[in-house]
Amino acid sequence: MFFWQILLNSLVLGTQVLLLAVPLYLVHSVSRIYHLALGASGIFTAYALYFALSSNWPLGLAIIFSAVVAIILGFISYHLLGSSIKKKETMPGMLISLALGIILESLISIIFGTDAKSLVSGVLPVISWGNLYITVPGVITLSAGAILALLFLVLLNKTPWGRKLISVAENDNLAASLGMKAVSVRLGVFMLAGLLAGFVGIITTLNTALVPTAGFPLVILAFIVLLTGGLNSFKGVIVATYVLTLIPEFIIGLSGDNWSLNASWKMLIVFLLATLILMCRPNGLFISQTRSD
Amino acid sequence: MFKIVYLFPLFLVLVLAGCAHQTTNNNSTPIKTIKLGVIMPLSGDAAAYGEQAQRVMEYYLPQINERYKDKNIKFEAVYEDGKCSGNDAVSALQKLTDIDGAKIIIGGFCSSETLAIAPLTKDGHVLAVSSGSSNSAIEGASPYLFTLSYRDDVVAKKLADETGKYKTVAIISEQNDYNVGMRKNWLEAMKAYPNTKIVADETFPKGANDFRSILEKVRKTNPDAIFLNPNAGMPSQDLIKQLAEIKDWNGYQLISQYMYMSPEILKAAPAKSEGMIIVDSPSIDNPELLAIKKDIEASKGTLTDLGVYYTASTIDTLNVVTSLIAELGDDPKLVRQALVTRDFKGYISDDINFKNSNFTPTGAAVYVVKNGAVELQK
Repeated sequence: MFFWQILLNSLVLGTQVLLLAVPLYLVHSVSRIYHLALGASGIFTAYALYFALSSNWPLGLAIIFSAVVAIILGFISYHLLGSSIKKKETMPGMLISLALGIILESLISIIFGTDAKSLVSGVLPVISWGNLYITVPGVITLSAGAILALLFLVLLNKTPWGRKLISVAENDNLAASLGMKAVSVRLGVFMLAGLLAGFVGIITTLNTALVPTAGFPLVILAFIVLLTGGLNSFKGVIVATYVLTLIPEFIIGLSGDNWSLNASWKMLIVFLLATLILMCRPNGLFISQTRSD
Repeated sequence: MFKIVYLFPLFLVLVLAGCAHQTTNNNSTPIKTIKLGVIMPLSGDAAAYGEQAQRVMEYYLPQINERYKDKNIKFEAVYEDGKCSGNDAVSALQKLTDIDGAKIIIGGFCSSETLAIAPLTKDGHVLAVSSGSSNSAIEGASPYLFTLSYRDDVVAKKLADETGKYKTVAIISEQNDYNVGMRKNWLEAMKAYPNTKIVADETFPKGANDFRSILEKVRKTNPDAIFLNPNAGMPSQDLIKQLAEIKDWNGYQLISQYMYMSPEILKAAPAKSEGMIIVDSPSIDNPELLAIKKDIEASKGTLTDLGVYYTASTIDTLNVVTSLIAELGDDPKLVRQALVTRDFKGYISDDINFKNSNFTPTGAAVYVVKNGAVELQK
């Protein structure tokens, strides 16, 4: 039973990372930029929901408000990174994104303070089977993760939309000559990514607590799984997510007695695993070789 | 000549500006303003403590200024946010000493703040008196650093007395100066209870907020008692909330410290916190102090997180420090000399002294959560 409970807890944590890795992957697909501000953008959206709920707005209106905030953040991100995308400057683009993330975190701290807040007061509702239990936000996380992973796996590999994304990323001039509007595609992806990151921000902080810096550890993990999974392989990203979240959780959870490891070891194990994977598979788990630029 | 005529008003303005900070009383005697640097957590997880201690100071400082009005002394508190973090406390101290010119500091409040500024006080150019830092590592940290808080090792001994009543016990600690120090002291004190087995000793990094796997690991060891040792604020609230999510795990005794004295934290999981044993500062029932506390709460806002002890220690710190400055001036060396040789009366004790220690002698008391409120255990 202990094993299954640890597995369930780890799956929720892993799916939170996967849910953020999806928008990170999408943005990278169309712009070649690691949009690290997505973590802070998601938390900013969660704070927007907190603001609306604590101002006694109706739940529906609060959700719409936070969704609008998330889309606006996606819109702003696209315009801030536009020049880097056009010039294919991935490193300056990443730095601009990182700076945007820090600005968003600082804004949250200034507006709401740095002390933690709760989106839901009291004990979270749980669903139990025998000795196993999971919180309702945990169930939503797992369901959303499964649906989105499957959806994007199909969308990216089996539909014209996916091919359009790849063609825009590969060569937007060629894509434009074929009648595709690269700008619209990219803008759409950035706004969708903002929305997805907002959803992750809300669902993650609903399960724990709302703090301005909550997005950073999550986006770092999502960034690592993106690199280890393979920048051109969504399947690789999914597998890497669970490899890099489940294994450390199990090592820590199952350790005991004479070799007990505590939660402080988690990131060390994550980085060790990522290093090992990248040493053996430098282009990602399922990519044996890539075309050089 | 033309230039001198135009420069004269400028000179006059500069002279007047230079004199502006020196105010005068009705008898035209200059009032000496002495700056007291204050380092407290005014943001972050422990902000409630800093904000409430600030309320006490803002309420009480005007009364002190009234007391020393005849001596033409006015104390002015300059607050800096230590954020319960060593780095921020050091920056705050440097700002207070280098820019504001404060020589006497009240703070830090958190042990992380106080321990970080300790090395900077060693040369005696500044003296710090804390009203809330309890980490026993403060003992001997600097000859110019004192605290009116109770000591962690005294609390740890009392906690060990409580956990030592059970056959198996688990501890869950946060990795920060205060909680790591408390864990170390408690493990040391538990050596006096060889019949109690520590079945789980889990720690989590500062800032963590998902404890479900840690709790599952502790649950597997089936302890008779669990010592919760997180930081104040959200970690303590999240920990008990997530403990309450495990509905079929009961029959263990929760034991903790000051962070669970807060009604807000207890309200987060009322059923789970019921019956919790809390080891905290000695109980103070001085009616005069309780009346002051009530008055502060009515005029400035709640002091629920600060509690009676730290309200008293904040007032006592102000009284001791300002009385010595009024008598000896704000020379850190003279104030220190008086602190280590004299006895003082206050609300925390009738015998506040630092003759052999950076701490004043205090004890600890045991409380229990009954019907959602904390009661002193008889």
